[in-house]
Amino acid sequence: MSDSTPLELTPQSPAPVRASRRRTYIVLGILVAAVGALLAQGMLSSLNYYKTVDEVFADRASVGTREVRLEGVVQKGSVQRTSTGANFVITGVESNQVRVNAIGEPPQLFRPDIPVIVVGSFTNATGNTFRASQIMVKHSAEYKAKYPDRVKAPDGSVR
Amino acid sequence: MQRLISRSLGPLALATSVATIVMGLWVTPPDVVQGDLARLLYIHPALAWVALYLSFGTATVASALYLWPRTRSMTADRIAEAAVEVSTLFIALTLITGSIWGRPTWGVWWVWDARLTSTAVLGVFMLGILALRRANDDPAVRAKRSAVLALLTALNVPIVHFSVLWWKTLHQGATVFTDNRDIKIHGSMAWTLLLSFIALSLVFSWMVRTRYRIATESQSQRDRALDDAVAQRRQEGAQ
Repeated sequence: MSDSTPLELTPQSPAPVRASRRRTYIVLGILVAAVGALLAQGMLSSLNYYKTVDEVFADRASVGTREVRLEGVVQKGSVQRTSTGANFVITGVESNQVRVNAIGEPPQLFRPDIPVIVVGSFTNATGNTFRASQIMVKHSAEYKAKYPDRVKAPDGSVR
Repeated sequence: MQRLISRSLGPLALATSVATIVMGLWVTPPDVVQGDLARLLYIHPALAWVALYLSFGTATVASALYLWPRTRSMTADRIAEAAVEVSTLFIALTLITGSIWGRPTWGVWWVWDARLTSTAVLGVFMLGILALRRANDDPAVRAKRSAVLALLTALNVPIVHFSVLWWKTLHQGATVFTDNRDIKIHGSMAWTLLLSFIALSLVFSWMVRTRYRIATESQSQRDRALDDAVAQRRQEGAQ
């Protein structure tokens, strides 16, 4: 097996000497400084994927009618399925409510009391009606077994 | 003893993987919110954990050992190479299984939130290390450069881990490795999750060991070929 692929042994000129090491460090330093400057400039907050309902209520003017992703919990009893999608209310704290008119079938995990992220914009600069073109369900990190015969406490809760 | 370990590693990895599949698909109950979709829990987090910590952790340590003069050796370089390759595979599978899980649960195949983006960036860095390894033939130069890039890549790992804490993301936070040690999973689901971590750790170990042995063998082959070629030239010279 070792005879079948003979090594290339003809003399070759050596590889060119690398440019100065100092230049490498300078370039690296500039790169690190650039990244640091970008991060310090508040780029970090743009890495947030959405604004919450409470954040919007705290600073409504900054949102206006821009296209945003808005996160809130679906209010129990507020869901109305329509021919084109669904209308429902999402909340942060109970008093901060946004009426969402969504186009398109919601994802299968969509239900009351679950956090969702809606993508779209408010219909006017000061109101709380939001037209959404997309709904994403933000399920929690908790896993609880679904046992239909589970014994429930008197108040209806399960452990 | 070493032979016992090496001969049992593969079968053990296979057995635990099969056990995980059986437990995950049939024995564990569905979830209250996600139903049967939650069964992807028994593959996706373990792939991610092995990719980031066990596998790339091995690559990071091996790279550091190579760069430290007192522990420098081609063994460290070969281990780093094997571990980076397996890490790349596992991180690709993490993203794929995550996407498959995301479509029916979140409603989308992909979002550019901090967790998914940082994981993708880490994957691209790993591909970069593999590309860098092919850019130079000299073993010492190649080893040093890929070791440096591996250490730089390792800086991404804490960013991926903390991304769900530092920023608001669609991807949920931790279930087990939570901030306040509050574990959010119980019973057979929790034990199967643990089993999946063990199974995929064994699969990783088997893969890295096999890849390392391939690297050692091809190095031996190159050495033998060199010896043969030199002997041949000597023969020609003597004639």
